[in-house]
Amino acid sequence: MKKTFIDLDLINLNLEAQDKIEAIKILSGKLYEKGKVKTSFFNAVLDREKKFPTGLKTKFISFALPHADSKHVNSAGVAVGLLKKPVKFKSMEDPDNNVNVKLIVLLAVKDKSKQVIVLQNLIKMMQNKITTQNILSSNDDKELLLLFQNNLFVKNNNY
Amino acid sequence: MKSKKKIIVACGTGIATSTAVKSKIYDYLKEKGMNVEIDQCKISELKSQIENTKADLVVTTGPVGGNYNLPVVNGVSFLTGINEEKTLNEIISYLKT
Repeated sequence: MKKTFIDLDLINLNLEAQDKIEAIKILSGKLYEKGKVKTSFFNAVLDREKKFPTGLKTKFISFALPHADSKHVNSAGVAVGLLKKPVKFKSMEDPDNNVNVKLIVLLAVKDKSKQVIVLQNLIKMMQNKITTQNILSSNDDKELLLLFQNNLFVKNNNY
Repeated sequence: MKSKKKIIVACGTGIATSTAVKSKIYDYLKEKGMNVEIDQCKISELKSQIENTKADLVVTTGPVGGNYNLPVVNGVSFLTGINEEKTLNEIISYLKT
């Protein structure tokens, strides 16, 4: 799974977007080019985001986890965008508030039982001071890719 | 003996954030010596899920609306790591009643 789940084509350092819609469109396009999601995925993500926003803020990073129902997904993966300029997402905690998001992790979830570890590790990464510092100071796509590859698939990653 | 307490974790699609929150709650409660049963579902399926499982408590990561006649706890803190302990204590207090 590791090799196909995320690769260099799905990493976007210095992502430039006017707003969350443009950012999600670019990242959805990357997943689509890889055959990971169906054409319906992009609209399904926007629709879900309206009803159930995914902007989150840990102590160390503001990020968003947009996703859609697995019927719009062909195979599991993530597209990662580190934004040049943050974009606003509604907050998951309180949809009346906005979060200025610096990192977008667009999830294509196919089978949740197989992706539990990845989802757990993703949340752990966002709550880890060093990891988030490394993400935010990545110099190129490769560096950013390695951070995700090295952390997402770890088993029993207690911190 | 008292039967196992049941928790439902609900999020918008029932696949991503609820999966992460479910495993966190399960591990935390296990550490505290509490063995619970946790189901997950979409928020849109919450009403029927509550009826089917006779749950004691609902934890959500999104706006649920409506009245469910059982405690509903906001579980976003398990994703942000901020105030996790407080949310956990809230969950435990409901499970003990």
